[in-house]
Amino acid sequence: MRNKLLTILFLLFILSPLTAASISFSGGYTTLSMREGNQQINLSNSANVAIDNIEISANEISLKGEDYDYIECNGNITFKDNDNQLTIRCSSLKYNRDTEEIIIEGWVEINDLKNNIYATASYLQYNVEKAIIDLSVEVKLLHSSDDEVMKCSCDILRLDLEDKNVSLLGDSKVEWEENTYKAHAISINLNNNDISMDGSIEASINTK
Amino acid sequence: MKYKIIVLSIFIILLSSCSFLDEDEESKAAIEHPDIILEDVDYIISRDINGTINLVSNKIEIYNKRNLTIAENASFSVIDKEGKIQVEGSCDNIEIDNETYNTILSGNVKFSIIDPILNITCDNLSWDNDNRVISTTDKTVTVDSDIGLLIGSGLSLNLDTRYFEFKELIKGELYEK
Repeated sequence: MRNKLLTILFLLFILSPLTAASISFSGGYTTLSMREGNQQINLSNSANVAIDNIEISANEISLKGEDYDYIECNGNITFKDNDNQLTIRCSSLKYNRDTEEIIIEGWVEINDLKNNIYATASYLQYNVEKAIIDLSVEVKLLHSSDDEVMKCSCDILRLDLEDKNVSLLGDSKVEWEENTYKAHAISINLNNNDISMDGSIEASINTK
Repeated sequence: MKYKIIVLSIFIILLSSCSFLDEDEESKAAIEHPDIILEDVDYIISRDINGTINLVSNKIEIYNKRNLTIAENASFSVIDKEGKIQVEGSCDNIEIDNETYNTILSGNVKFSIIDPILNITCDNLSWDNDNRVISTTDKTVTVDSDIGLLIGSGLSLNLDTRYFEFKELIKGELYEK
């Protein structure tokens, strides 16, 4: 009898993660549809959604799809990735929980506290699982290191949060320690601030 | 003589303004008392072709003129025409309109919709039978299901479409499948 009880307790312990809540949310006026084929949750008036280490707040948040995997946010959005100490601000955001991909079409602002980075752009694609952010359209990035600020601008930028690498592409420009680097493609190692360039290179080095 | 006539006229006017209970008041007084009181009872309300409402209660009062059945400390189930349980639950007090089957539940309300299961816990709940909508203005109402847990205030739920409206959603959780 005791063995059976222990077995049951063990099974419950093993199975408990399967029933753990993966998404939590709150909001003001809220509508939910649980009908099969039309599953949808609409949160408004200070809507909040938390998924593991991700927190999203916005004026309106919708969760759609069979497993409520598609999340659409509108108005005054703050997206926090606590694992990567990353905060994204924008006015419109789409997040696919299944592919762990975020798409922002419109002005976006990023604060990466781990790598001391502040960036702005008009388009963002963020693969949360791979920790890679792609920015495009009027990309500007500031990287603070050793009491200096590195200023970057380009057409397309890739920020690899795990490898700590920034890749600039198209009309790339970096201003760092009173030097200016211009090239088609520039790569920056955020660990040691090494800069490498490729294609139509132009550099202005201050030797003072 | 003239003075007597005036006094008599006033007296008649005063008398005519007094009356016994009018019909409405008489009717109101009568409906305050139940026509039937049942204690410790299993009671079945027939919904014609749509099935039954089954009540188990300490005390049931039936008011014929008001078309009302009131049950205390009741557990209830709504059975469809095929004999399947659609809804079941319990509460401190339940009032059922015997014509419309609109129902008001109050005190420790537990309301479960079967298939797929949906458990609602609150203090007050109204059931609109025609529109198949349940609603509450309670500040805290809990809805638990296989999908997840919802805690909010001011709930309205259409049972057919499974469409919820919360005035405020305090907390929602979706369970991992």
